[in-house]
Parts: sequence; C-alpha cells; structure tokens
Amino acid sequence: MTKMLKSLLTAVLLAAASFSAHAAPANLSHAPVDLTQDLVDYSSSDLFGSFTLAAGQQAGSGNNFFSDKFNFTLTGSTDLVGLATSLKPSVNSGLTLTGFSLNNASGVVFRGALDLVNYTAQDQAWVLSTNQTPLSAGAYFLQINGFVASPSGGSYSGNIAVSAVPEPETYGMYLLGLGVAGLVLRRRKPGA
Amino acid sequence: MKKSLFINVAGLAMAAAVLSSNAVAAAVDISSVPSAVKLVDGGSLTFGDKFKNNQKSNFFNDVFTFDVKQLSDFSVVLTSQSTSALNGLNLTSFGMYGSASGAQIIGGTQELTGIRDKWTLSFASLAAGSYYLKVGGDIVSNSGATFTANGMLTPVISAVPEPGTYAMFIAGMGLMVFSLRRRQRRS
Repeated sequence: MTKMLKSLLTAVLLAAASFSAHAAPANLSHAPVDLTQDLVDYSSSDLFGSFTLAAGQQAGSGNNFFSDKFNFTLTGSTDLVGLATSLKPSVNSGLTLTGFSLNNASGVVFRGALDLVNYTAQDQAWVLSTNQTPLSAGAYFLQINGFVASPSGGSYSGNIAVSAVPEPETYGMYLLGLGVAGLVLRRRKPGA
Repeated sequence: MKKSLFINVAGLAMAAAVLSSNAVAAAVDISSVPSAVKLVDGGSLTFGDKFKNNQKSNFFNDVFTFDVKQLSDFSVVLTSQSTSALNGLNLTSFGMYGSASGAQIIGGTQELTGIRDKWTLSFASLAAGSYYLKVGGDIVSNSGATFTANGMLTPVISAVPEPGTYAMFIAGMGLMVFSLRRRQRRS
C-alpha cells in the first residue's frame, strides 16, 4: 500500500518536473547578420525577421523570446537612424516587439522608443536616431527584442540609414587649403 | 606664360567636370526584377529592396508577387526611414494588383512622407489566386536607400458549416431520438 503511494508520488513529481522543463522559454533568435558592406554600398540596410513556432513551442511572453543582432563597423563619424515595425492587429496576433537598441561592446549606446506619434499601437514602430551626437568609428550592433504572441507566428521589417558627418579635422583642412590658396594668389599678384 | 596656360587649362577641365556632374541626367528606371513576397508558415510576410549609392533622381516600380490559397484577410505596412528628408528614397505609390488581369484591386494609403515614408494597405476576404504588390518611388539624393514591409495573410475562418458538419448534426439527432425511444419503451 505504502509502496504504491510512493510510486504514485514519484510519478507526480516526475510529471511536475517535465512540466517545468517544458515551461522554459524557447529562444527563437536568428543568427547575427553583418550589415557593414550594405552600409557602404547602399548607405542603408534592411532588417528582417520571420518567426514560426515549432511543435511544442507556445506563444506568449513567458513561453518564447527572440533577440536578433545586426552587426556593423563604422569607419568615420556617422549619423544613424533606424526603424523596426511589425503589424499587430490585436494583442494575441503576430509578434510583440519589446525593444530596439544600438549597442557596442561596452553596452547600450542609444535606446529606441515606440513611435506613437507617427504610428499606431497596431504598427509597433520602434525608432532610434543618433540625432546631434554622431557615432564615432567602431563596431556596433543593433538589437531587436520581442516574443511571438500568436501561435501562427509573425514577422518584423525595418531599415537603418547612415550618413557621414564631416569631422572637425575636415573643416580645419578646408580652412587651411583656402588660406594657402589665398596666400599663393597674393604672392602671384605683385609679379604679374 | 606656359604656367598660366597650364593653370587655365586645368581650370577649364575642372569647370567641365563640375558642369557634367551637375548636369541633369535623364532619370533612369532602376526597378528590380519582380520577386516573390517572403511568406512564412502561419501567414506572416516580408518584402523590400535596396538601392545603391549614386542614383539620384532615378525611379523604380518594384513588383512583389504572392499566391493566396484560400479566402484570406491581407494587411501590410511599408516603410522607409532616412537620416534626413534630403536623402533616402521617396515612396510615391503602392498598390495591389491581380496577376491575371493586371488590374489594380486596391491602392495603399500614404501616411507619412519625408524623413519617414509610410504606406499601409489592407484588404478583407481576398479570394484565392495570384496577386502582386507594386511599390513606386524615386531616389532623393546620391546616397543609397532601402524600403521594407511586413504584413499578414490570415485565412478567413468560414462561419458556414461544411456538409460534413451537417451530417454529424443529423447523425447526433438520430442517436438522441433512438435512445429516447428505447428509454420510453423500457419504462
């Protein structure tokens, strides 16, 4: 009798253990993509991610997550803007985007924000911009975080764009060149 | 004398170079070859295109094809973000067309233009068939640009029961009547 009770108890415990193991959120992140060449050739690059749930994976914030990385290296002072969006007609459809950030090895450089002025909650547009503080040369990565909210999965899309910002040294060189040209002209005048 | 001649020639050459770079070249059609919308299991979709640097004023009409297998709701958001309104691309048209007829089924709605371009398009109860989306625009400056889109193609769950369902109803009703009769006979 007690033996039976014992075996019953272990069975229950085992079931509970397997249940909790199943509840660990599934990591659906894509492999990092390098955008460096795109930024040189196109002054921009696309950001895409599509997700479907495999058998046994469940929709919802506690059940799965993704954290997609887009790497790139800048060679000079650069302005950068980024946008990521995903259509979400209702709470339990598509993806939920929870974050959009620009990072380097030492952490977050710029944090994106939900743009509810130009977009709606159904568009879920996250934007970030370096604005008045251009990025210096170096290695960076964009990170898009979220989870799959619907059993049928979802997709996000977006792009980043860059434009080179002349550095103070460049302006210095301009001025220097102008000065030299002026000097040359002055020196030539008396001789002519 | 020789030196000044050289300087003059050099100056002329430079002026010519500046002129030619400023000359308004005829806008070139840089549309990409039609490609398929990336449609994943579950019905979410993405598409987009990138344009290389040095294509100022050129224009495009990109086509993205897709197939609908059953009656579905379709919605998509198309965006392009630039560093300023003076560069990037300008999205000027967006529409959905039937592949067989080439006729436009619905046009998109332009919601933002300038530093951010945004168009949306949605269509409820799209019948099975082949369709394409056409994205028109032009390149604002000599820096390259990108547009992207995402959306959903969701099957419409039909509210009308299928013939099989009716058969089940009738079978169930028959069984109920049968069991009631048996009970009545017993009592």
